[in-house]
Amino acid sequence: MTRRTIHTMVHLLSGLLILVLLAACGAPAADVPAAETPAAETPAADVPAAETPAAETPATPTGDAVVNVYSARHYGAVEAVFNRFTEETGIEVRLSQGSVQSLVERILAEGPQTPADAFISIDAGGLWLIANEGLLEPIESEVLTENIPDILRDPENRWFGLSQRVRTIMYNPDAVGAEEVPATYADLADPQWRDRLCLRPATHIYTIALVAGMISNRGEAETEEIVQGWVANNPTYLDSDTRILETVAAGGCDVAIANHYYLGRILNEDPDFPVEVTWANQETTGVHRNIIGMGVLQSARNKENAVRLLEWLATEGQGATPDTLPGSNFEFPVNPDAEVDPLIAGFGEWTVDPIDLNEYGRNQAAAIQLLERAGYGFAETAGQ
Amino acid sequence: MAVAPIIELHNLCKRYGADIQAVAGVSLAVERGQLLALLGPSGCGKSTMLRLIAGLETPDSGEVWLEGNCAAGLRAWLPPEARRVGMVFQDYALFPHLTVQQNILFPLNGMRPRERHPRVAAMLDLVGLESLDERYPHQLSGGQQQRVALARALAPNPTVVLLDEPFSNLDVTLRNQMRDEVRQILQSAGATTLFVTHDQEEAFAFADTVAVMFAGEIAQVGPPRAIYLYPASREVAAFVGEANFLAGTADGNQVTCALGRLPLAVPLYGRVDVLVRPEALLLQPDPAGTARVEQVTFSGRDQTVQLTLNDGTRLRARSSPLLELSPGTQVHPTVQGPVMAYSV
Amino acid sequence: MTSTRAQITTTSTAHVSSGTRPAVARRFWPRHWGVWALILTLTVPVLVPLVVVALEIATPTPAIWSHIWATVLPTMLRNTLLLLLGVGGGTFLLGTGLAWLVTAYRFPGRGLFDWMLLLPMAMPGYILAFVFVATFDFVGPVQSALRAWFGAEVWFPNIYTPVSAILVLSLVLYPYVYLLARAAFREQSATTFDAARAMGYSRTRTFFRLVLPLARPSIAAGVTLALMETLTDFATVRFFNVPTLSEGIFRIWEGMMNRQAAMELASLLFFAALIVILVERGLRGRARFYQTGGRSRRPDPVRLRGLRCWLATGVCGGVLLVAFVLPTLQLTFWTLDEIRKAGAGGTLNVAFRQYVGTTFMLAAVAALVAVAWSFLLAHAVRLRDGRMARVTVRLATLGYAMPGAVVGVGVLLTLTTLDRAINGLAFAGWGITTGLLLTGSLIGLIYAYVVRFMAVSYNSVEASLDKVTPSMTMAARCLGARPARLLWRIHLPLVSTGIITSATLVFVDVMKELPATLLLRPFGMDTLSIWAYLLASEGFWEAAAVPSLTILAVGVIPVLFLMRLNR
Repeated sequence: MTRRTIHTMVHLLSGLLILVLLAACGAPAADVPAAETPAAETPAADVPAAETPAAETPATPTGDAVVNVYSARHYGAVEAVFNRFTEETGIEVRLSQGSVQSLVERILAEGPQTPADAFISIDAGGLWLIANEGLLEPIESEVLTENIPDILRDPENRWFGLSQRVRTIMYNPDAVGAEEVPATYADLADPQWRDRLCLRPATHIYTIALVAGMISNRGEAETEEIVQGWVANNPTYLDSDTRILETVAAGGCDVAIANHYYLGRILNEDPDFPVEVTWANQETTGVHRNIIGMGVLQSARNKENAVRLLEWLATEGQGATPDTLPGSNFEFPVNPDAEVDPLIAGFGEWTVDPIDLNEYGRNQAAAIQLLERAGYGFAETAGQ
Repeated sequence: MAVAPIIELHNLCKRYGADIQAVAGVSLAVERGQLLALLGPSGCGKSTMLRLIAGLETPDSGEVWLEGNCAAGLRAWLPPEARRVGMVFQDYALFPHLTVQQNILFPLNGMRPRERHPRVAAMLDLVGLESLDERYPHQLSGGQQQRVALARALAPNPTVVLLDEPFSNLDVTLRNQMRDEVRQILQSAGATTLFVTHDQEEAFAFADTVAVMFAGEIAQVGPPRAIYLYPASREVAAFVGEANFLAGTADGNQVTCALGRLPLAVPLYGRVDVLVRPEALLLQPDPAGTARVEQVTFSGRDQTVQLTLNDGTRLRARSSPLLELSPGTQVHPTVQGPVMAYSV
Repeated sequence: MTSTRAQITTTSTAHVSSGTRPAVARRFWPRHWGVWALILTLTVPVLVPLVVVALEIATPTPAIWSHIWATVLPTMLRNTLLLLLGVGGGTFLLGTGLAWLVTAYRFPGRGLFDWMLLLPMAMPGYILAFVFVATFDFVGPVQSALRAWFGAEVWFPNIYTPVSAILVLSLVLYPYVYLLARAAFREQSATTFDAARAMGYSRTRTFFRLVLPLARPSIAAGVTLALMETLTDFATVRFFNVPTLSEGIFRIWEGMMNRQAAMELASLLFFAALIVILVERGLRGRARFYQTGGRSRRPDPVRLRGLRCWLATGVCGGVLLVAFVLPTLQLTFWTLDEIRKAGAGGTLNVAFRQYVGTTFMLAAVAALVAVAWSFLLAHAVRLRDGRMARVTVRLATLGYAMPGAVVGVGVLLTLTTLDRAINGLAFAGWGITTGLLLTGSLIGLIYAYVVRFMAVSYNSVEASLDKVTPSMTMAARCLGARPARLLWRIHLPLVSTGIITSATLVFVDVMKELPATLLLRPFGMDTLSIWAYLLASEGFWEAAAVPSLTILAVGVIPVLFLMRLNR
């Protein structure tokens, strides 16, 4: 093997490397329009044509009207909201989507060099985790303090709730008589619900947040007993609230825990859908509530744009129409002045758990471990 | 003073791992135009020698000189592509994705473009395959493939041609024919050839000089006749042909043994083993003879006769088929020519 | 006599051996270091992320370990083992059986099945999984129909078990074994076969005693590929609620504080994969296959008659139906539904074009880089053949056994460290912040793909380099070819088939890849697989069908290409 060969090889390799580097720099970080969810579930609105992908985007910002958001929401309808924002303000919103956990992981790993300006989470716990590492910037803004109730934002103003979602008990009225309807989450641990229960697996943040809230309210020991009770009832674990509700409707299980808006979506399509909702824990702690929340990152390069987005989402972005944040998904707005979609308003008044939402984050690790200890999420016949 | 030899090996050593000495201090010289055979049993290091000369292996010590230049040594090293050595492998190693013509063109990069095709044509002519230049290797027979391999090796006018067991892949009838043809080709090309084989018949028929090799060392170099008739050691004697050994006592130019007093080819003294080739034994039926026929194996062109001497020594003799012998016959054996003997 | 004596004297004394052995054996160093430098340059970067992961086991967090040991780890280990055995057996039976059926027998449709049986390779496991779930779930069409016919109490097996995962993975991974077994069967010469028959062996016995053992290395390689895929799969098993080591890593890692535990679990998986590899080496034996000039005659296929003939067609057709045709039909219906609902183009169209473009570009670049990388490595190893070189390469191809998530995190950590170092340097030297150059860039992702898929491309390239006999390399060198020319005119053309095969395999694999992409993709660069997975995991079957069908369609083309090459 002569020096000549080495030269050839080195040239080949470096040529390749240069090519790749060029490609990397030139890769357009485009505004990616997410796919439409089954549009039947959202009233067909005129969806404006999606943003054409931007041209050259170097890793460093240019100070254009742009805001880069890591978003844990991946419903197509989110697009409408951001499109309206862009129309009204001229600031382009660029999304990078993923699960809460993976986005948090990414932000933590990227540290101060993250390209994201803001983080939109579907769980308060995720926001707490980032805030706890000091990566979220406290925002002093009257717009935000006036339009978002205290309980729905971080006491230190690091994150702000923009939409409410309630995780409660749903049941099939044909199979569950009016007296039988469980009143609390703990009731579901009752043996009468054996083989009649549908739950979401422990991998999903909804379950984790619910349990984290329970730990906060009742302590670990009691929560563990409840969860063990759930597990003892041999629930069917389905990783989709929609499927859970469909299964309840079809008779596969009689009761389930699900987010309220899934029912909203289904009922919007099919008003005769045989599933009813009941707010859990009305007599005790209040029903479990989580938020869609947003925080601005300390290292954000488009900080003002991010704050503008935040403020806009707290005001113009609130409402019941599909081009608002809560309205696009049948969720409850945070802004007390905003309209509530009549369909979900029809679910009735509810008393909510006044828990500090940061607790979802503080107790997250404990919740995960508790769920694992109780054997939650593994089908009984799995790996017998 | 004669021209310097084309190949010179000085004290070449090559070892594999900790305990396998493939080549142990070999020195050899090959003259221009010579056809030298490296003969030896499997594992004696002859293929390694070939690879050392080609530059496919590096010697641990010693030197390889090609055409008066040091190709491998303390300070010098020429990679195989820089040595002008043509090598034909046991499996021919033709490039399957190239036609015959392209195969032969391959080494001609150093040649001026307009000279290349005529050279290829000349080579094909030399090996007798003019019409097959557009064929692919897998479309050729074994013998044809070998000829292409030879043509390819000869095309760049190498200093020396190395052949590694070239005929072992051919069937017997083809082998003899190819042997003669290849020898003729090499001689008419005036090539200096070194070829490696374990078949002594092949070595004797093909080469004009034979170097016998055992365990990494060269035991004897010489023309085939000399090797056969006057082997330098017992091992060589036993390897290159059938051999009878008789105990005897030598006293200078003669040796006394069970077959009588025989003239020695090389003077020796003391106790020796005498080498008697089977064909050197002449047999005469004689009731008073000193040997008795045990078994006769008739092979057509000759017959092998197993004898027992009066003192119990067993011998093998080879005689013409015209001599009719049957087991139990007493014969009188005589030995033709001087014999070789080795001290014990 | 004197002349004879003279002859002997001159010949035997002139060049006789037994020279003194040298005290010091000299080495010719300058020749070797160049090749070694190249080998190391190509291997070390690929190993670093894995080393980072493996080292995690050196810093265990006892609290976390005792927790997972008490809770999820035994189940995960058990399931992983179950899956390995199940999929190993399943792919072996399917792949070998079908390959033999198609090679040794003639029956209606055989010519078609010959290549069509490769098609499931284009189907990612998680896509088949979600179609499976959507079909056989409680609310799915099958159970609903059963309930309609037989009443609400009709029994149906629980689909959320490891058995479903084994089934789905076997259907999707058997093509690896099929491809390699088929190639091995075709290479066998008729004479060995006939010899066995002449000795009184029945066809069946010949198959089990002769054909199968001869094909063992190829089959072992194929099954190993399938097993490695199984080890790293996290999405398929998730659909069936089956916690495995790999799925557990993702799950634990997603649980924030337990990133440390996830990395340590990843180390565990690392060693599990090592075991699989060692077992494969044992099974493969020391055989190396050279293709000597001239093809040997292949055994004639036997025409099947009557019931057996239709059985053969049925089996092939059945497998194809379940693994490919029916799921594709289902996906097509859903896609058409979705297109109808989305109205006249609009967002769906643009999003679609976006994702396709991104995916294609990523896959193509990754394939190019991986193949070039592997080829150079294989070539260098060829030149400097030796145990050390081979061991180094074996290590380099370890990335295939790593879960994509692990590779992803390993790469992420490596790159962020590098980025911080570069930043620090740039700041110290010139006072500028370079930001994230490597992390979250295309390079990072491609790097992860290379680490992950090196094995695929290297094995194909090496296998086809095996066709270049050592004597061919030596002959070319004697004929004056310097290493560059050797590479260009001899090695490259002869392995071009292998290169194309390997590029194709990498392309398809990258397209289907999920976890590492999830982790490392540049801002806004989502691929089809991510799109499909995110939607499917939420239960949006119709929406997920659009990207899934696309992955399938694009993935089929290289597979067809592969088929033509291996004809």
